[in-house]
Amino acid sequence: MSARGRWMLAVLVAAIVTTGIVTVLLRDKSPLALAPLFSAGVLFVVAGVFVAEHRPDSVTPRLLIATGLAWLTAQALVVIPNAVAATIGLALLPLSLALLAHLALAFPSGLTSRTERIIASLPYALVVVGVPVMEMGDCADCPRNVFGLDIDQGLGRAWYVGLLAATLITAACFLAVLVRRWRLGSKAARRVLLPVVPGACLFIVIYMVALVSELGLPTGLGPRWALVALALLAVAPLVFLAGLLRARLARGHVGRLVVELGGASPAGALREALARALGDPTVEVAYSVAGGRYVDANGQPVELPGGGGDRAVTLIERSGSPIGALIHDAALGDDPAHVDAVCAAAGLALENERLHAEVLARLEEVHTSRARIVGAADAERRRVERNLHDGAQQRLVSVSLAVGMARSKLVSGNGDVDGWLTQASTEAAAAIQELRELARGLHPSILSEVGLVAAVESIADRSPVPVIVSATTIEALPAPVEVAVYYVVAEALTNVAKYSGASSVDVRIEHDGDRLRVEVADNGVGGAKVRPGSGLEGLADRLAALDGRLKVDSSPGAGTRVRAELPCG
Amino acid sequence: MLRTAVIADDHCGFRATARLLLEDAGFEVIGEVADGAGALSTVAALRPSLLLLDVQLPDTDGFSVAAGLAKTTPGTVVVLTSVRRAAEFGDRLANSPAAFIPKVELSGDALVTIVKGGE
Repeated sequence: MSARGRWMLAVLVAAIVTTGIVTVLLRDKSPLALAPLFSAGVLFVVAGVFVAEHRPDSVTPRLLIATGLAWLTAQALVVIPNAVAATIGLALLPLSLALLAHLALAFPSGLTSRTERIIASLPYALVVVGVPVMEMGDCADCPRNVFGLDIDQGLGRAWYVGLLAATLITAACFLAVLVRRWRLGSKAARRVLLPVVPGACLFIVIYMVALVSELGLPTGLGPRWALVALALLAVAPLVFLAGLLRARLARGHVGRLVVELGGASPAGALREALARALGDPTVEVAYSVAGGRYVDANGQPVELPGGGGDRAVTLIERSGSPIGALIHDAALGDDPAHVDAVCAAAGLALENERLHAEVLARLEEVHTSRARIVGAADAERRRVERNLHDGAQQRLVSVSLAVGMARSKLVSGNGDVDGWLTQASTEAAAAIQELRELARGLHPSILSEVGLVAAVESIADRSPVPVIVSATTIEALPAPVEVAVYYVVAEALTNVAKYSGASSVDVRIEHDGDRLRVEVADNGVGGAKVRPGSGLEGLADRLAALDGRLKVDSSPGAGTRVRAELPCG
Repeated sequence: MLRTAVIADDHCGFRATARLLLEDAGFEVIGEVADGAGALSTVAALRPSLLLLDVQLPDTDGFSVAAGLAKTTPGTVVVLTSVRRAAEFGDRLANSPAAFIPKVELSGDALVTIVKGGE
């Protein structure tokens, strides 16, 4: 127990003992007869202190202690032979019941909606409204309620009946909220709610029947039912304690988790162990991998749920950096300390499985990018084949036909030999031009002829949007790196011309030791993305194959910045 | 009699050569089109003696155009042509009502012979 807890307990024990002494001294009864009344209050306070020790952030312990103190103070005050003291004591009795009702509604993690807050405040209002019609009992020398009205006639009667009716409606509201919470609760949520909510519902039903019979209506309620209600009230603190302990016990032992995770475990075993330790069979583990994405143990992408639903997310950190997330039943959120303890205990196993998942995710990525690269190569071959057929081959057919015609004209000695030869020459020149363009598309031979920067400047010269090229001194680079940079600039400038509406573009190339960075930034409309099948995706694959990266920043309206970085050591 | 011809080919360089070749062989070239739809409408309107039809067209292929014309305008002789060789088209060519001459083997004489056979 912490120092703060010990202090709190000491103060409370002193308060209880003092209250007890006052009660015994002033009441004309033996301490033994007072014991049940007194012990119920003490039980509340002790339970509150115990819970506060384990769940200092929860509203439950404060309400438990408040209920107990209100009850004990009321017991003491009502026996003081002074009308004001007795009146305050009389008001504190229903107040302790209002606190108890609040407690039942707020269990285990506070009031969660505006409706619940309104309903929880109703009993407090009833306590105030009920002040004029509070009664001590029938004893002749009992102190009187200073605001007292006679509840058997006139205004007092009407006030009293109205109060009973309002209390009945309030009780029904509580019942509705609790029943609904139980019905909608998941398995894990019900485990937490188990003794508290059904117990509270039972008490409310009995209480409502008692109210109906107080209104003078037949209910068939015997005195034994009143005893059940009283007994329920007396054990209420134990019920709350049991609820909190049960949730924790059902969630298994963190220590056992550590043992279970000690040996090598097959993929998925960690999830099973976590599910047992958390008492939530639906728990999922998501691992954080490069690029801010999450994957499951098999490397498949996982989407983290947003807030507000019945699924909640607890991020798992190790040595200060996030390694993953638990996706679990939102009901576990009532005991975050336990979830954290489980995550900490599973830390090393989680880290191992994360590495495994990351490898699988990388493999998957390599697999798909390899398929895309093969697909892109096939598509390129098809394009070249079609280009040859439709272009140069058609031209050469024309050349062949025209030369054939010229020859036959020459042989026969009549006809337009010159016209046919002109036709052949025109088509041959066109064929040469088309073949040259096709060859340039296959490989930028300009790179080996003039070097990277001059080659990039030649693309820039062909761009319809003005381009400013700047570059650091660039030393000899591996050919695949030069080609990749060339294509990044070519593709980015093509996109600028086609989509951006920009008025200027900056191309920057930096060679910094063993890294090469190239950036193409325009001032256009932005909104560019690496879409499946796009030229940018092809570039990303090409860079990934060289251990490089492609990054596209393109918020709508803020221009587009395509950056590539790749090792060239 | 005067023989008329229409050329359907999406390649303008080839159309120019083919026009010279047809004119040299005594045809009057009354239309040039670049796709299958153009071929169908032009032939229906002008009813030429000959349609020189490329197999590969941007919107459809020459076989479909030839099959359609065989029903609507049987008076026009359709000659399919291509940079590819006959063997590359297999059954589609064998089942076509149209004749076929590879582009490199086109000659005025061969076309005149086919058109005469169809008259």
